[in-house]
Amino acid sequence: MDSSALFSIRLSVQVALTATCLVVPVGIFFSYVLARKNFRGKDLLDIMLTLPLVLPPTVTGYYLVVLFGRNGPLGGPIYDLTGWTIMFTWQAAVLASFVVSMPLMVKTGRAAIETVDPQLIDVSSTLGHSEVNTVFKVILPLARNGLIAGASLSFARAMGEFGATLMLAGNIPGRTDTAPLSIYSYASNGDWSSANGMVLLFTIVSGIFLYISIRSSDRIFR
Amino acid sequence: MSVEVRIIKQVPGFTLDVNWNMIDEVLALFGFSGSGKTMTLQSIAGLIKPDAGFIRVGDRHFFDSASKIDVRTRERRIGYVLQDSALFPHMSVRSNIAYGLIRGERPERAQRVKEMIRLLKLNGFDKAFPHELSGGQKQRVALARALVGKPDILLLDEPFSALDRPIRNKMHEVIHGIRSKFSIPMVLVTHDFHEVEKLADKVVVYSDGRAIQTGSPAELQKNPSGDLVKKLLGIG
Repeated sequence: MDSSALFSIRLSVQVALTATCLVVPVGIFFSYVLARKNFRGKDLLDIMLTLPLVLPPTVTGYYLVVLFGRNGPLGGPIYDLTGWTIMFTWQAAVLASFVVSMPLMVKTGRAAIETVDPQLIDVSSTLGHSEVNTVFKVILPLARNGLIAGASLSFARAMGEFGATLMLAGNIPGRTDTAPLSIYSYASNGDWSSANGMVLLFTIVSGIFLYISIRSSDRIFR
Repeated sequence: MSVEVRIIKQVPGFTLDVNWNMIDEVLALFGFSGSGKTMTLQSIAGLIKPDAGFIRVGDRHFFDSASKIDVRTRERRIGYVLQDSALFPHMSVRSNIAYGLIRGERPERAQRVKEMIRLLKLNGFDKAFPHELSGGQKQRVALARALVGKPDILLLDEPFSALDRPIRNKMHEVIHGIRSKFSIPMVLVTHDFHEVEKLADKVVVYSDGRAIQTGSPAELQKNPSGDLVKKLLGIG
């Protein structure tokens, strides 16, 4: 494997790890809110968090470009303040992966939290514990396997992110060409041997993470 | 310590409207399923909020709709034991009990947990996990966990109804032991009159959300107020 292929793989791992580290706490927060709280607009929040799962990644990417572009409602103020834009950086690939893998974390996490016996949560409060304490000492430990399943699915999804990344980070060799983007470039240039190696590697890595996810979610219901 | 309960709570298809009080005794809420007994306990615990009324334990007001008082569950200092024990499955017996203690220095807390293990005859089980325990042992752990923080009131929601008769009889003795050690009011929800006779000083008979008769178990047997009470006692 040549150095550019190695760079792509390293970048993909870096992007997916960073995105997963962000998706896990944020996703657990939303999982908890959706599983345990009732409020107006709950369905809307659920839809917003799930949309990236069903939208074409290019549409998700388009929204992100509109929001985070130099003239966007979020990207504009950031650029004015710092002179920096996320567009066409590796952080843009993280943002794309974060948004696209969030639904997997939230769906799995919510299901796991909903399986925690509500009586245990009630008992915890009768014993004098605050909601935060109950979350960390009772709910999260009991939902752990489902949360691990969600995190590994999210990681696999983040590793494989293509469409939104292409829109937001571009496909700049040596900068933002993650492994899926490299595979696209190899295939379009007819470099089948390089494509084959990376495709095989990807299939194996994604398979491993799916296996972890399946084994963990099996254990939720034991 | 005195306990005064006046609760009105409406849910679709059911209205709970009860009024009773007690002083440092074991009071049984007795009646068929769906008569509002558990709802009353949940209101005392603060797990559901009555529409109107008041709940007082000693000089503390847990709830008072007139003066808009609604103390949070975690600040009510109650012990609550449920039918299926609701032990934390990921914690050992010792950790389950220690979970009921949130204040105090570490050595002092360890000492309290030890005392409860001894009191409830759980010696040798402190490192066991809930799935390794029998039904009776689980309920003893649940009682230890509920009592370790020295609550002002103990709420028992059909705690022994899933146990076999001989184990149940043993658990009744455990309750007598607890009673002599902790002089706190206990409210016991049950539909077993044998249990009422063995444990309670006072009975409130519930039917369809209302308290239809109040008295000692003996009074109830001698003078049941109507056919429904007779039926509940198995003499009608």
